[in-house]
Amino acid sequence: MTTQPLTGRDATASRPARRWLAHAGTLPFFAYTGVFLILPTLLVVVGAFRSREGAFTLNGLEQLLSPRTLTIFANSLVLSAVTAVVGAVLGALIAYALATAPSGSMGRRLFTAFCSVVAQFGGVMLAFAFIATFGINGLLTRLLQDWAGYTVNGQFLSTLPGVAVVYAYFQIPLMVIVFLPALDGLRVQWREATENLGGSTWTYWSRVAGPILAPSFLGSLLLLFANSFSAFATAAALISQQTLIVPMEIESALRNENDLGMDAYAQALALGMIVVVALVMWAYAALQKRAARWTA
Amino acid sequence: MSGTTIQRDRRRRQAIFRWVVLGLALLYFLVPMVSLFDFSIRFPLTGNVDLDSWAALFGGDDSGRLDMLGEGLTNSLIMAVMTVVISLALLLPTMVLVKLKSPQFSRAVEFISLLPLTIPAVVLVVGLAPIYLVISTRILDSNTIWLAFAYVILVLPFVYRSLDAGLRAIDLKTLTETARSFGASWWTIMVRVIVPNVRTAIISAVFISVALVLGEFTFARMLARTNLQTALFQINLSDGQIAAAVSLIALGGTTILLVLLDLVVGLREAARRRPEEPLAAAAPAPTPTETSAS
Amino acid sequence: MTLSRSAVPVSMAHLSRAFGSVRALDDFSLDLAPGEMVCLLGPSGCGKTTALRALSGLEDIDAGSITVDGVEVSGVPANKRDMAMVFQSYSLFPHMTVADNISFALELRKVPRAERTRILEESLELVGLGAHGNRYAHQLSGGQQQRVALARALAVRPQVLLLDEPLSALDAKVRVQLRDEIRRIQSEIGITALFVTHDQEEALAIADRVGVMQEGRLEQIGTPEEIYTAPRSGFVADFIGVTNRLAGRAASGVADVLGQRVPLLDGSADGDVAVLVRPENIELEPDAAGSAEVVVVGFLGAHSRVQLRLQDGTLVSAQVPVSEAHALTVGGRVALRLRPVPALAV
Repeated sequence: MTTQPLTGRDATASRPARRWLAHAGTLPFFAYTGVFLILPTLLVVVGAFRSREGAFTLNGLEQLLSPRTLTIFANSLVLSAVTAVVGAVLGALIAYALATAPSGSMGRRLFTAFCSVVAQFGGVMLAFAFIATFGINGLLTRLLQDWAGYTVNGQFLSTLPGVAVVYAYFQIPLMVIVFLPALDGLRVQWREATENLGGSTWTYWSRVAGPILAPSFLGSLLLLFANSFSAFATAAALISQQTLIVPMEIESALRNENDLGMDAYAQALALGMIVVVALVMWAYAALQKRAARWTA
Repeated sequence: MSGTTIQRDRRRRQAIFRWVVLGLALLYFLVPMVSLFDFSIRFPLTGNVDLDSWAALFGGDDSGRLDMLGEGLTNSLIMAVMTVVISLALLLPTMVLVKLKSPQFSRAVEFISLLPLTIPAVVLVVGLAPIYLVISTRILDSNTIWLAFAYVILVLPFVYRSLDAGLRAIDLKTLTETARSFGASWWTIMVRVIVPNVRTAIISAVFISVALVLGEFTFARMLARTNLQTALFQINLSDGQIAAAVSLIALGGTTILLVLLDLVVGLREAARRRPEEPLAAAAPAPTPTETSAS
Repeated sequence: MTLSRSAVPVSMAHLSRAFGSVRALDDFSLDLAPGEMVCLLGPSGCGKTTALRALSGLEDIDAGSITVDGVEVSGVPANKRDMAMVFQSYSLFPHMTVADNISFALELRKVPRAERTRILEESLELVGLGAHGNRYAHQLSGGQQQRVALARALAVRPQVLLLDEPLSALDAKVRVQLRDEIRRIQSEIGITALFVTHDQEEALAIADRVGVMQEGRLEQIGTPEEIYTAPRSGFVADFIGVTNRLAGRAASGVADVLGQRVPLLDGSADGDVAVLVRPENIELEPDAAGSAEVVVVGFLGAHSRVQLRLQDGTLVSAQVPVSEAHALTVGGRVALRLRPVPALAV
């Protein structure tokens, strides 16, 4: 866009055109996201009801609601719920410990940076780390065998509980990062006012800090849930024999797209995931708004 | 009468609590990493401890087993650069434009930018598969690096949030109007006025994007391409020790990256408090709230 | 009125508190008479807030004792002391309504519901917020929030009311309004109160006695008028109101300043001194042979302030009625006359 001083006639004649020009500057963004974000999403939603010949079909939905697929969905939901709760509780505890340190302190900043790293630790590498710890030739496996005579089940990491243990590893730091700001938002005056008015530490936590933190805590928990539900790489690296969770089933469905009876299945699965995550994120946004109102 | 220690005792109890909890947490986080290292130097079948795998990585290896890893790493690095460039070139001008001239689009831009948080990578890739089929066969080729176009979408929420925080912290309107009143062109304004003032936000966005691209697995796997993570996956099947060693290097690299970012942010905060830089931007905190473990 | 109870005396004796090498309280002693409102005044870091917090129990003390109504409370934790505090900011619990905030302490003491409601209504009426019981803190203005904080503090009828710069975060106009209200409520209820502020006008306006602090010590304590007209040190004289430093010679309680004789306050120095004269104690008269030159004439509404330059270059600030100021011209010469009001020489 060039800068041109507007003269009287110029202004009136070209104003609508100039405004259009200004808006046109946003075109690249909308075009790009249109192709690479909106279009794929539409393809999923539409594709869930579209057979390979292009006709309308409910085959995808039927497959989605089959007992086997429902079990897989249940697995995903339970796994996400458990790791969300575990991550939320332990993460909140660690976040609280961090919050008691002054916010500028080097130790706290380093620990927070470290949490960022662990939270982003790619799924594949994380799986390797845990296999190196609890796998057949793992460090802890060996140590436990030598010192306590306890044999860790070699297949543990390929089971749902095993995957949950690995998920917890990145859920906890994620909780720390997401929840720490809420803890920092607790004003010292609220604690002192509670004491002043005769309240004990229990009073403070149960009637002041607890209720104030509740929306943020729940919101963060939901975020953890969505994060766990969407995760793929970790499970793919740990489990090789079966498809236990929805993302793995999607991969399998994509690979077998051209098989009989697999029309629209991958898309239906994807649609199911969108619905779950969208619900969770909507609830998260609502809770965040509530939390912001109070701690502002 | 001698003094009281009620508050001091409480603070001490808190400190003990803090040390215990954080100490245990640190232990928990470090054990898998120590195990990784141990695994990388201990050959599983014989129990021999040596640095063969590390030597192979750094000394160069003729056997060809590292070729795929090299290919994956190169692809990932190229894609990281591409993703950063495209996402910034796409988002920064758009966000500036929206803030200054088209505020009615701001909600749409925000919604779309944050949409990828609600659409998991596994889901997006189902819809991307046919699109990439077209790209591979009719528009470009099947080179892995074209995956960067999709990666831009993955990093969109983080880049948006970072830039949003940075742009909010400066008075964009006044800055640009002042520059315009001196006769600057839009290009000059963008490059010499806006970018320097949101430097920290841009750095933050860059670091998060790089970390995300290097750790990305889902797209590459589902669309049958070779990037760092899929190469790691493959290598693990044949040589677990090298896979472990590379993972550790990647971890170390990302740690340094993020610690550097934190230090840079901290330095900018300190600089801002000095009275010399009246137009310096505030330093937004990096918030990688979603993992790339997708 | 149900909210009042018989007032109690408070005694803080020889309090000491150090933070590392900084002595926040240095042998600090202060007695509050029953029902009295004392203001602690001083620059940042003088220890006034530390003294307040030590009294409330939120801050430990290294030495000294605190007695309320004859009972030693130094070792008593904050939540067991019968005192309530109003904070400078973030006073209210954000997740509770106004009514819940005020009833909070009552619920903790298991006061029956009927009684609670009655006290709640009375408290709201007391601070003039009767209709706002169901609103939340973020829906109220700053002034309203502080009023609720005051009501919340008084609802449990504490023995002592503590106020930690409660008006500092408010707009100037609201500040003046609210300080008068606080004073009215405090004296109606008759509760012993300690008020900390760095605004000397505020302190003078509402306190029964004002204590000026510096570096952890109480420099001087007295009624507002005493503090203003009879400061005992240069620090107090400088801190309170505006004051001019005029060179002169002092001997046996009288100083020779600008060729005039000014009586001196007790505690003044002898010999070559700076005499601290307030602007309102300087009279001016246009005089072509006068010793001072008018530099600036400023209109302040109720009176005018004139800046003068003396022959030796000293700048002096004088306060004159507006009508007299009209007769002055910038650059014109005036004669100075110092009123025979006792002043401090340092």
